[in-house]
Amino acid sequence: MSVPTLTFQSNDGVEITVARDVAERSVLIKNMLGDLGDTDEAIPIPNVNEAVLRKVIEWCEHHKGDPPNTGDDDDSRRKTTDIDEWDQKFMQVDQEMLFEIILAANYLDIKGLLDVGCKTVANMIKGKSPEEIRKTFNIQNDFTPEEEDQIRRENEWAEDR
Amino acid sequence: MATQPSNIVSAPPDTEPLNLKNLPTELHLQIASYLPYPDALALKHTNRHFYSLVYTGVHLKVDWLVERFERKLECPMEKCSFRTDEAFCNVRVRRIMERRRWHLECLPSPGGCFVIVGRTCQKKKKKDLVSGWLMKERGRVLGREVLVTGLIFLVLNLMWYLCSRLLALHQRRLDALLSTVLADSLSTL
Repeated sequence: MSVPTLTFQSNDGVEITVARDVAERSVLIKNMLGDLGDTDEAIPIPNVNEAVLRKVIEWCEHHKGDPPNTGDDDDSRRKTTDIDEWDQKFMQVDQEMLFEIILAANYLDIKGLLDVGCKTVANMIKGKSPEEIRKTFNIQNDFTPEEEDQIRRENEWAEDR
Repeated sequence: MATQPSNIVSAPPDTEPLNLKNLPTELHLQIASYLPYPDALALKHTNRHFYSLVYTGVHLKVDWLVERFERKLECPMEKCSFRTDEAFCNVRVRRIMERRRWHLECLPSPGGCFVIVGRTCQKKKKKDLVSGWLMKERGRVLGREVLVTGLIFLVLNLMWYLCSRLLALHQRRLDALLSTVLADSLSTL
């Protein structure tokens, strides 16, 4: 017998067939199959488009042999942002795709991918001044002049550039 | 019949591309949890949403100092108040954070970056070579305020001494000249 497969349908109507063990990296899918039993029908993934879904599946295929995440590392306060080389290359995408992947990982409950995505964003923030972060992520500065004064007192170091 | 795409989570309004601010708040929290103190402070100061969200409390400050201590980097242990960011960021802490932001503390070896741990930070250094060098020199001078002040004082003192000596010499010569002139005029009389 061939490997059991599942079919996903992205929000733009494209069907993608995935090996079941790969698909079960997603806790959402795993629990759904556990609750509802096996299905031959395409499973709609309403929040994810085809390009993002293919990226997510690519990640799941590469990481299908990983031990299941126990969530123990949440206890340590000092978190590392080390990302392994393959994941670093995988995350070299434009910002919109990066955030789409993060949202998809959050929706599909794929903890490993969500962690890698958030770490990538954290690394993009590191070593930048507030103004540089605003520029990188197109964030609006909505502080009032009084609040700006307070901030200037808190981090003059970042202003003199 | 056109089908409505059901973009519930991302829901970017029409043309605006998906951005950091479109992520749900719990993901903002998760991203912020990976940041050490200086970067968390910078993110906190980008706008009101992050100001109310990002944690920069005592634990983060202590963790940052411990990490610096472990890496044998400069640690401002004295006169450091952990209560607020304003009290914590004294001149010395600000200078350290500035140096860190310029990657001046990183090792030149591959993977020796301390800002993004494990990376090699040649790129930023190359790009900002001149300005980075200037910052370094500035830092070096600032670190020796006492020596520089002392040297200035010494030079001023030396100049004052030389001037007074020169004036005294001049005075003596004038006196001598005056006395000879006087003696001459007296003798002619």
